Amino acid sequence: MAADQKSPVAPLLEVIDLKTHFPIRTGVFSRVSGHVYAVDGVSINLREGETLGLVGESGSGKSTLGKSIMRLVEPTSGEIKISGVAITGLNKRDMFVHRRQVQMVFQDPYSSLNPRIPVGKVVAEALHIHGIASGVAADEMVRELFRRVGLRAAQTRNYANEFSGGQRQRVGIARALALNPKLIIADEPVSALDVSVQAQVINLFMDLQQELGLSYLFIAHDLAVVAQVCHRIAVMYLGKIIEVANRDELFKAPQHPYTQALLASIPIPNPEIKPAADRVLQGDIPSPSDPPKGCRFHTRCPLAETRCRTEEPPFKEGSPGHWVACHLH
Amino acid sequence: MSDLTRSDRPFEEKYKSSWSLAAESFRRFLILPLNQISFAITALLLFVALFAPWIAPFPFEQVNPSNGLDPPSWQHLMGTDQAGRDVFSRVLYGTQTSLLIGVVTVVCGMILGVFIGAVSGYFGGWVDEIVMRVVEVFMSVPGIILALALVSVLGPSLPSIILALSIRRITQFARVVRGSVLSVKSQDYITACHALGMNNLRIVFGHVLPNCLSPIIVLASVLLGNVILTESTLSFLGMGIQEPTPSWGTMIAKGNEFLTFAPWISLFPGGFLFLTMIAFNLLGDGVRDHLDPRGGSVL
Repeated sequence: MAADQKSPVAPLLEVIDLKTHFPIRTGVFSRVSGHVYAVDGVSINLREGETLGLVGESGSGKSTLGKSIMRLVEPTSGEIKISGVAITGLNKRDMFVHRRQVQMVFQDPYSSLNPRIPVGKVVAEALHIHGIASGVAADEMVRELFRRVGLRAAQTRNYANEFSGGQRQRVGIARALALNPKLIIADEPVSALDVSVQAQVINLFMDLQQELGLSYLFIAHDLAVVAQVCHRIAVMYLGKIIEVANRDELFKAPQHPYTQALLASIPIPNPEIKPAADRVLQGDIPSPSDPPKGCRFHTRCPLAETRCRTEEPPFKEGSPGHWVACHLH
Repeated sequence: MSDLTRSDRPFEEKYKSSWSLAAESFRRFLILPLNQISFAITALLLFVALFAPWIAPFPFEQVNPSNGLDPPSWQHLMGTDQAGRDVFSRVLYGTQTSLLIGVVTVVCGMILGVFIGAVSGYFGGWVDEIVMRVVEVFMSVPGIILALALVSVLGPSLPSIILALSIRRITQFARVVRGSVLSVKSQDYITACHALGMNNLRIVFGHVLPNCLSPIIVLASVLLGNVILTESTLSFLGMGIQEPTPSWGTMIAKGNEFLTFAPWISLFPGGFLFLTMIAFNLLGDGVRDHLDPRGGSVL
């Protein structure tokens, strides 16, 4: 659906019509009274060595999509293929092997490290259970990983509370790299950091991509960050991808009114230029348990027409590699 | 503190062991005078319990009807009871009984309760529902009534008293650990363990439970005093430790009828019980404050 590349090799990651719905249980008997449509029919793909940015407001389902791809959250339907192999139906043992290929970096550097265990020990444990190395060899590999992410080898023995936010995020990256994955899902990896530290961590991500040929699914809500690291950008709104394009294309010629509004919301460092008032979004994102009919964005769209309220727009390729779901395009 | 933050130590050094962390934590615990007092009394009681046979001047069951109800003297520091037994020796042996029951009960309750609570909280679903309903049934019965009922069914012996007292501790530990596990398991570092492909057993015991240590330790120290008091109550009511084995509760009960003219028979075991309760409650409070994350202490 969202395929924009014609390369003969299977993409590293291929997500086809993925849905992840969470039941809402109420009452004494935990009756299912509704669903949260966190991810509702998402199709994306990602080539080797590429960074795909995933942007959207809080509550748009970005993190759930990331966790679904890792199968940390069980998808409701749809298919996920890693290097052409469907992982949605894999049992526990096969999934264990597959875990080596995809790893995750978390948003909150404070809750992502166990306060009671030396940071290097968790990484060594991962190496051990996957049969990569154990004992002294594993310790040496952990030290090497720490050096690679810009920490000192001796810091493998420290506890999480002895690190700063940026260092913690580096530890999180070292942990993700331990199994030598091809794809890293970075769930807002820099949004909790100071701006100066953000730049360092982003540079680390980019250096690692150069050295190791990693692919990233880079989840963020800060468009400035996304602009720096991503090759392509997918915009998500209420559980659906509404626009995908190359970075430059998306920033130059955004098609979807929501994307236009997002770009208009980037602060311009010049007080003379006022943001276009009609492009600034009003209101909040609707509840994902009761998404609007038709185009999901019509409740906030400045350009909404009658058919937007009733008819769901198809996701189509406007220009090569630029997909958008809007009746106006 | 300085060696905690320095990280340029030689590679050969192993991971900082949890023992050295615990020792560090313990040193900081003893800074407060109140903690020093409670710890000193606890240590003294432990010492007395362990070395009672060597400290006690008389065997606890040695009767001497000719000098019954003797007031405290240099020979009998706490006087003698109606059968002429040395109250001091019996109080010392009573410490042994109380601490034995306290420690064994709390340890049994802790092992089973932590296991049940961890499984219940971690796996959730219907297992959790069933376990928690059972726990609530036990919690709805007053502790002493439950213990009395169980002992009267099983008969008043040491194992049955420990069993009767343990069951409630199991439910108490299970509840606390479950709550703690519920909050820890949703942390990102646990999600990361799943992402790395660790199995549930490894995650629960290696990564979740170490983070539930503080509430477990606090509950254990609070319950220790609690159990000793309940045991004394049972013994006082005649459903606990039976004569001639010394127990503070039994001694207080037996001395009851001589209270007006030989108060020492009840007074000294009562005083020891009082002291023990104060010490364990202070200890529990101290440990709780010490381990409160807002106090900035680890472990």
